Parts: sequence; C-alpha cells; structure tokens
Amino acid sequence: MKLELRAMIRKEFRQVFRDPHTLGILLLVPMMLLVLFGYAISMDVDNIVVGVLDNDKSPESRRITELFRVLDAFSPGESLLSPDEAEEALVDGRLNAVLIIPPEFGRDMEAGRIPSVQLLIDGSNVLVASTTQGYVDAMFFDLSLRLNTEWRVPTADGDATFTPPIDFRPRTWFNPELRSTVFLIPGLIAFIMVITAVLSTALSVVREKEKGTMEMLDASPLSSTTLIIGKTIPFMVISMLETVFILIAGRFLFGVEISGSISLLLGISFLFLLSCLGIGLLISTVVDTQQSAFLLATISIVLPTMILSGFIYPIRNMPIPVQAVTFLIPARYFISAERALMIRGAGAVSIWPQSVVLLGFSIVTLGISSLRLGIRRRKR
Amino acid sequence: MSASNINGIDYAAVLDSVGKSFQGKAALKSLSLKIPTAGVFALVGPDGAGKSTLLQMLCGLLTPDSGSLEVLGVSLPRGLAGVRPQLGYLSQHFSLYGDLSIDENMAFAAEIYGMKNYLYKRDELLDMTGLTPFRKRLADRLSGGMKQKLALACTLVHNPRLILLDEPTNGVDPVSRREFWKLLRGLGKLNITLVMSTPYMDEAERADSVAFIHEGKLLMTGSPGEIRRSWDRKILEIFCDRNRAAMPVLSRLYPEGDLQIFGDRVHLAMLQDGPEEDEVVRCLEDAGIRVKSSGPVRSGLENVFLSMIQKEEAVNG
Repeated sequence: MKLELRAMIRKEFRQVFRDPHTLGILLLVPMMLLVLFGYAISMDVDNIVVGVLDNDKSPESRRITELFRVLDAFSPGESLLSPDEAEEALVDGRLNAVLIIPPEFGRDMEAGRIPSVQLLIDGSNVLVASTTQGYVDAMFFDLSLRLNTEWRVPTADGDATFTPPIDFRPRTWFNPELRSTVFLIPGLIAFIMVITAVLSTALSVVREKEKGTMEMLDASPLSSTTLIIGKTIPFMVISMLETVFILIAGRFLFGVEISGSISLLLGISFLFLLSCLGIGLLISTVVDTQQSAFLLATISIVLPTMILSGFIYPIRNMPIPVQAVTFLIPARYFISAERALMIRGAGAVSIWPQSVVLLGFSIVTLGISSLRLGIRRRKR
Repeated sequence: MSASNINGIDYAAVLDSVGKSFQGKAALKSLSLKIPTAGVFALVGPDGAGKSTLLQMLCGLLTPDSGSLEVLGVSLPRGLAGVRPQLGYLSQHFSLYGDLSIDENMAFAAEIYGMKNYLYKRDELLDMTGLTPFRKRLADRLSGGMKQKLALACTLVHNPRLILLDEPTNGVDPVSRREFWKLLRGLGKLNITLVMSTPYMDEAERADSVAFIHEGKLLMTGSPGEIRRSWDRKILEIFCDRNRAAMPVLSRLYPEGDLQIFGDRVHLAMLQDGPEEDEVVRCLEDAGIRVKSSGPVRSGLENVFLSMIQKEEAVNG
C-alpha cells in the first residue's frame, strides 16, 4: 500500500478513537438502537387482557372463558359483573377487550339455535385491536368447528354428520411465530450502517475543512483519490465490524438466525456500505460545517432510511409518489436483500438485482464526490 | 540583489504581471515580482493587500487568472505536481491535528509527502524548535508559540526548498515571536527560501528582502537597507500634546513634506535638507500646541511604506 494512503488511514483511526463525538456515533448509537429495537420496540402483541362478562354461567359459557386462560397471547382478565363495569374497564384501559356472553347462550346451544357472543375491543391502539380481533376470530372459528362436530348440529337437509366445508390450515414459513425482532434486525443493521457510515464519513471530511487542515492536505502532493480512499477505508472497516457485531447480537440475544449464506450477506453489506460512504463523501463536498453536515445527512438519508426503506413500514402501503421516492433510498434494496438472505435463506440468484443497484449507487456517489473534490482543488 | 544560487536557479519564484480576482473583486493586479533564492523574504502590507493570495498561488492552491508564474524554475500550474514535494505551506490558521501528538503530526506531515526515512529529520527539527520534551503531548495541549513552532517543523519535515508562511507569528507572544524569528534566520542560512507574510514592520526589518504590497499591487521590493536608502529623506520626530491639530500647521509650513502619525508622535519627512527643527517648534507653539520634545530620527521601513501608500492614494484620488 502506498505510504501516503497508509498515513491517511492510520491518522483517521487515531482520530476516530480520540474524538468522543465520533466514538459516540460509532459505538453508543448502535448499542442504543440495538437495545431499543431488540427489547423495547417490539411489534408483537402479547398480554392481551380480555375481561369476560358471563351472564349465562352455564357449563358451555365456562368452556369459552376457559379458552382465554389457555392461550399464550392472553393474560388472565377479570370476571365482570355488569355492563357498566365492562365499559369502565375499557375506558380505563385496564382491559383490551371485553367478551359478553348473553344469558341464553347455553340454552340456545342446547336447543340447536345459533348462539351469539359479543366482543368489545378498545380501538385506540390499532395494532393491538386488530391483533386481538384476529386472535379471537380464529379462536371462535376453531371452536365453532369443534362444537359442530361434537353436537352434530342438524344442517338444512335435516339430520347429518357435519363436515367442515374447507379444512383451512395456515402455516407461516421463515418466521413461524411471527416475531417482530426477526423482521426488524435486518432493517436495524441497515439503519445503524447509515448512521455510522454516512454520518461519520461526512463529519470527518467536513472537520478537516472546518479546522483548516484541508488546506494543508490540498497543498501536499496527496491526490484526491488517495484522500477519498484514505477517508473511506477506516469507516468501512469499522462499519463492517459493527455489522458482524449486530449479527452476533441478533443471534445470541434475540435468537435471529441467519438461514442463508453469511458470505453473501457480508458481500451485500459491503456494497451497501460503499454506497453509504459515497453519500457521506458527497454530503461533505456540499457543506462546510459539521453542523450543516449533520443536518443534511439526517434529513436526506437518516430519516428517509428509517421511514421509506421498508425497515418498519411496508413500502407497498405507501402512496405511489412516495413509493417512487423509495427507489432513491439505498437501504430499500439492502433491506430486501438482507431479509431474503437472513430470513428466507435465499441464494445469490435472488439478490442480484439489489446488488447491481447498490453497486450503481456506490459508483455514482463515489464518482461524483471525487469529481467534486478534484474540481474544488483545481478551480481556484 | 540576487543572493546565492542553488541548482542554477537565481530566483525561487518569478511572477510576471500576475492577476487574480475573486467574484469580480481584484486581489492581485498585474503583479510582477522576483523572489531571490535562499533567505527570508517578507511580504508586507495591510490586511486585504493580497499577501495570502500571493502565497497560496506560490504553493499551487490558487491559479493566476492572467500573467505567468514560475516556482523553483517550473512554470505553474502546469508543473505543479513535480514541484509540490519541494514546497512547504503554512496557512494562516492553525492547521495541525489537535487530537494527534507532536510525533504523530510530524509523522503524518512527512508521510503524506512520501517521506519514508524522516525520523532523523524529525528529531533534528524537534531539537531545533525545543519541542523534544513534549513529543507525546497532543497538539491541542500546546501553547500558542509551541503550536506555531510545531507547525513550522511540520512544514519542514519533508525537506522543502521553498516554504511559504502566511502570517506565522500572528497571535504569538513577543518572546515566542523572537524565538520563532531565530529559527527562521537559521533556516535562511540553510539555503531554504522562506517567503512569509506579515503585517508587522519590525518583522519586515529582519528579513533579507521585502516586498511592499498594497491593494494587490507591488509598491516596492528590495532589502530593508536598500529600501531605506532609496527613500532618501530626513525625519523630524515631534511629540506634542495635540497630534491632530499639529497636522494642518505642519503641512502649511512644509507643503512638500510627508506627515505621518505614529501613535503618540508625528513624523515629518522631507527630502535632502530636512525640516528646521527650531522653526517647526516655533510654528507649533505659535498655534498654541505644546511641543514636549523633538529630534531627528532614522527612517524605518514603516515610514517608507506609509509615504508610498499616501502617494498611491493621492494618485488614485
């Protein structure tokens, strides 16, 4: 390696480990995000509390109450005494839903009439409400089928043994328990990479401008290519190490296994990082202060990566013009490739389009920034 | 006026009608100047005169809009890549890495110039600047004078033949300034050409050659002695209680004389015969201005410079 390049890289590493701000961005932010997304921000809905207002108190109604106790997703609710109590509990937020069993429930069933129950759901949290409804729906569907076969409810043609019309058996692949950490970790890797690679690269170049050391570098025989490579390699190395660290944490802390090839995963991470570094450099050629670099990076890339990359919110649900914007976010391609590799265990064939796009991003951003840097140096 | 000669080059830099403007505002106006090889060359002028522009041009950070420029016998900007390793540039702002130690800064400065075996040179420079005991200290923790010495050492570690220093003693205390100058003088003897800009006349007096620059134009160049001799006038220094009031009285008395105020004193400069001290004092006292003391003084560069600026401004209206 060229002496000049080695000098740049060594200097950059020294500065990274001596500057508390850079170190904070590189170490603290990823750790914080990992804990937040791994533990705190879970989109799984557990511990749904359903209260039961049993106006019937028959063996049949007790059977239904019993079902809520056995299912994992539900926490033991309370037995309610009156409709007023039910309403009060929903308003207070003590209960997520209330199941109301009418007094004639057991009698109706006995008599072969179709019995009805009511479920009141607190809709203030959409996520919890729809999950609750889904669970309870499924539960009653299942229960109805079983009751039908047990009690041989007569059909319209008269007396007959009941057979369910379709035996529907859904099974979720790749993430059978539908755990949200499995879904979030790939996006989290992309998000952390964007923060560390884009931000720290942009800040480190702009700092040279701010401190006046850039002028010294400009007056030296150092070429702009050496300058750019020297600025990117250290952050590339650090960000790659972070990726590995998050993968390990994901595996051992959150049980997110990598079902596909690890080398493919590292390969696509490398391409994504390259485009992040390119964006970071590009930002540094546009602004002159660390403050504006931080602002520009946050607005142009950190926030869009959070919102528009499919990290948390599905791109398919966005309005068409917004969907068009997402094509400009490199993380979009990376996250979809990551999910394919990590969760679905896909092979190289299924991620090549994303790889090509990310490579394109890298070439364009690195190319423009080295051109701009060269022009700035010459045109004075 | 040309000093010694290394590698067949009489001049470290030659500028021929060089012009440069920024956003339509002229910083250098058709400036021609020859900088002799070896020794200390001082660019003197007020802020905004074009000194920094000139220095940045000499190290290839700026390119001239018009005219031609030759540095170490090579025409710029064409031959820049070849000549760059032989140049050292110290900008006006502190341009070291505050979070690197003295040793680390020196190593970086040497290596980006492609220097492999710089350790001997580094130790020599650290000894010369007296920084050896602090070499593990971060640059941010050094005093202003020490920082400036380190910056100088960093610009010298790759053995440049021409170094360009932009106001290197700015913001440095008087004691450190004196030490810094001792270093510069020592370097001048080593066949290195030092071009520095300074707003201070006392620094210009210590240089081997001086160029006066004002509003992008060269007013005069030569050694301090030559410049003083060329401005062949006698100066009467007057301390009186009201300088401002004394000016019209004196200019009425000697319409052809140069009048300059230096803080608490007035200098009256005249060709050949010089002003009559007795007459001046009498006239001032008649006008009700008390003269505390007066006497002839030797002309300094500052007198020459100020009178040239006054002449320039009179011509330009």
